[in-house]
Amino acid sequence: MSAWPTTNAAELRPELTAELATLVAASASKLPPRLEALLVARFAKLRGLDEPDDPAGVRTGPMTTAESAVIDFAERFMLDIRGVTPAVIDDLLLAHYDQDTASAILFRIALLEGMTKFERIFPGGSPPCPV
Amino acid sequence: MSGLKSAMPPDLGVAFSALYGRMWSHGIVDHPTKEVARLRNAKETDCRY
Repeated sequence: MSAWPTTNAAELRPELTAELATLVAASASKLPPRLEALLVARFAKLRGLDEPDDPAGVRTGPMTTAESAVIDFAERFMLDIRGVTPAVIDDLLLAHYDQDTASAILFRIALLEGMTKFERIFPGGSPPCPV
Repeated sequence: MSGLKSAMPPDLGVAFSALYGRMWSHGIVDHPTKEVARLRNAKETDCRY
């Protein structure tokens, strides 16, 4: 049996909860809502986590070229960080989004990559710090 | 070199700095241990910081 408690990261380190929740919320709010939803779902799937419900059908329908590029980038970021070259950033992010949005997407992906690792190792997940 | 000028939007930088500062200044893990973890992570990810 695992020695890990059946709690979550936020409960173990409450002194970080407020700042972390603020950062996550601010990061998520800078992305188009559908792209945010697609990214969260994709990371959940890659980590073997339950994908979040989508009652409003935000994720429904084929991805746009830009959305596909971001998902492609996110997968590379997670699976092969050394393969994420400046050219990849240009081709997959800057080719579709302006500077501010591209940097927000990159930051959001970095946060998701780390926080989904937390969810993976804590059976209780990481509420109230939403991924 | 990528055309991306910054990996962190300025407003997120404020929130990130708050979290980063809290992480370093609070908690039960001593600073040398945190530093070792930071350096190890940097080595693994080729992080110049």
